[in-house]
Amino acid sequence: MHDPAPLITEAHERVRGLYRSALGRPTDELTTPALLLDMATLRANLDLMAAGMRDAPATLRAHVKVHKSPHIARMQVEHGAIGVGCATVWEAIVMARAGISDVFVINEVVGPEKTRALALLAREADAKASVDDAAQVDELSAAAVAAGSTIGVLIDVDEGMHRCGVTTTAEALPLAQRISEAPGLRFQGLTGYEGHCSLEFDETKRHAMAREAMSLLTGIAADLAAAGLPCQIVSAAGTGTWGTTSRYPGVTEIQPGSYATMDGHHRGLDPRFGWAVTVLASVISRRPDRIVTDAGSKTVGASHGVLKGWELEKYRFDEEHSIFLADASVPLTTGDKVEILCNYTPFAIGYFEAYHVLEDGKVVDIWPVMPRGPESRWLLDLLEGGH
Amino acid sequence: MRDLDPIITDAHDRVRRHYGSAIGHSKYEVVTPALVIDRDILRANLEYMQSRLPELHARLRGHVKNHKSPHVARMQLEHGAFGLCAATVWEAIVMVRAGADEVLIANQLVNPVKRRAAALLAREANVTVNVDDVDDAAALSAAAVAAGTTLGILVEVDTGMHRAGVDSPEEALKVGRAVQALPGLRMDGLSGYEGHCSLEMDHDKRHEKQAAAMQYFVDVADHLEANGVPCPILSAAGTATAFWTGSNPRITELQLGSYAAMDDYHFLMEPRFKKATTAVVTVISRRNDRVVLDLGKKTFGSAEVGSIAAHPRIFGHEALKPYRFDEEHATYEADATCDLKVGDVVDFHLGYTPFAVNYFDAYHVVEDGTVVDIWPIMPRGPLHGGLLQLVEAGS
Repeated sequence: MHDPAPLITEAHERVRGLYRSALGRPTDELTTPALLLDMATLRANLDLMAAGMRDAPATLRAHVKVHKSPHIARMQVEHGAIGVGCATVWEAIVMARAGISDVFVINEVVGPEKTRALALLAREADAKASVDDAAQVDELSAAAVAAGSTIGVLIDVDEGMHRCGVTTTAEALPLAQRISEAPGLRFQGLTGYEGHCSLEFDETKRHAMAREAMSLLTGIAADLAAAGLPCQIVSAAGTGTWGTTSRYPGVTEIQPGSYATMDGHHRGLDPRFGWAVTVLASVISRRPDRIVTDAGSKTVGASHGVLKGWELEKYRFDEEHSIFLADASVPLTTGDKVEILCNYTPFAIGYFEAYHVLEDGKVVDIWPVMPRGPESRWLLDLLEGGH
Repeated sequence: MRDLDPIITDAHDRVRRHYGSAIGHSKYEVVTPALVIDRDILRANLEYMQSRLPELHARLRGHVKNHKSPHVARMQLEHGAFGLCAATVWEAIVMVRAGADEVLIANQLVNPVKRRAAALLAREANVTVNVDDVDDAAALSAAAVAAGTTLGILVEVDTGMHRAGVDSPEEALKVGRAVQALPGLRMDGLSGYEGHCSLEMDHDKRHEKQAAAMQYFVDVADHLEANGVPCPILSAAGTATAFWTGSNPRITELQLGSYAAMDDYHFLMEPRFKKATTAVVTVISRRNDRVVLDLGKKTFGSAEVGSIAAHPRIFGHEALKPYRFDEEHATYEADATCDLKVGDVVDFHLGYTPFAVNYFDAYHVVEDGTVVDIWPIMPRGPLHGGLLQLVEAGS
């Protein structure tokens, strides 16, 4: 792993400067809402995954879309990850500048600026993307040729999630041939996130679904190999299926991400991983039958959350408020701090610009969330040397 | 209205530097997903609201939480709004630095840092804050005294929304009297946003609920005034109830915001305002039975408001049924009769825009389909992002 580039160190310095008054303080003294990251829990999660992968035939590629943190990504690599998975090319640029050389955009990259960004990134890192369509192959090839780089390409296989991806060898084979013949591209294999399994909470059913999905994925890989197009990489799995998928013959790497920071949804799938990220909020109004906090759906995100340590029923989440039913027996009062356990953490992280990093309940550092938001054309300018 | 502070012009310069290469180009050439605001539609919405003000008893206080744009806020002030309304103290700081002389934080602050920020901001503008708790009022008083300023206070009344707010005339009187007696605070009146009415899609039922809410609100004000607590300000209303509430002779100001930039959700209730805020997105995958777009719930947020579906949709393909919204993808059912293909760039209805606005850092400002400017979104996200230090330093 390289040292982090100025893009990362400057962002870190900036947020440390903005929130320096929080350093050394316990959570009770913080301005709310705040995004909390508990280091002990994070390390335990990373250790657990490292231990679980020690005897697995597949390697670990850590997905970063969940946490958007260059610092957590580096810790994932220190805990055995061979590289990272990203949802956008902008995330891949950030992670490459964080010092990680193997970056895979596990998504279709479409549009002239995004493909140019990926091609330029491939000059400084092992950059890969997935495709499910000949037009994407041609666009990526043209961009790589223009940039003088080589982009790794994997075919996206739909194993039942019904999002992007091809479903048959008949579709995959001509695509693989097209990639292997396209200048500037390197055909590397298949990717097939079995995300539909992560919507199934019954463990037996979920793992059976995952095996069925892997049967399809590895079957297509075997067909391509037989046709003279071997798949160096066969990538799959999320936090809900990593145990099964990492041991499925023919799968070379897994791509989970939520295991590091976790949330309610993923704790329902694999409770061995602990809550490392929560949202700190304040009770700002105490009514006879309810409490109102200062963290609503603009903070916690669309999937809402529950209060840590309090069994209170959700009444409603508004933009800037969450409301929980609480009668007089609940000793919460205006000004009290509460922690919200997000049902789906990526939405909350998407809104924040920084984590308050905790050791033993005290803030020890502030880490930037990068990249923020959906459009980051300036990262393309950065690659082009624009600023 | 004062000039823009450097914090606004610097942010404007920054986003123009980041995205300014789009200026002069078609909106379909921008990097997607992009948040687009149509300046002609925005102006038409503001002009329509302004044209209705003479017939309303109440004045207009433009809410900013839904657009988070200093530029839109200034246009609201240029189109009849006497002041602005914010959901957080950070929004209030931005809007004062955008030139507003009057700002209401229609929310409880409670946190000591936020109280101090509001008290310091009162050095620069007339700042008013909602309160529903005597202890919170006392702490605001201490913050104002420490800053050497005066904060205007509105006692928040729960008119049926069941969020914050006192829930009886007696409790309102108790808090109002406490505010009257506290140094550094000015008891200005009551705040009573009837937000529950905006969750009622049926026009007649919404009107009934609005009338009941405002009757109760006025009754609470009568109780205070009869007991020696004058309420010169009665502030209420959202976009879905503004013309009803604004016609109530007792209501003095309206705190609506969505009327300016609008979205599909509010358009269902108030179609006289048009949708100025949309997105431009790209088809990144085309399967036999579906299309997949390059934005998902991380970008447009929830597809529901309360229990009401405000489904994001593709312009020109509104009939396509959503299959699933993931973090970075929106998938719609689309058979061979649908001509969308990989690489197509299309306009997109966002459903409920405040969530998307909260995620982006800028608007692509469009006229006649061409990008003419880039406007910053400020403040972004739940943290203060340096606004605390700014207000501590003073202007």
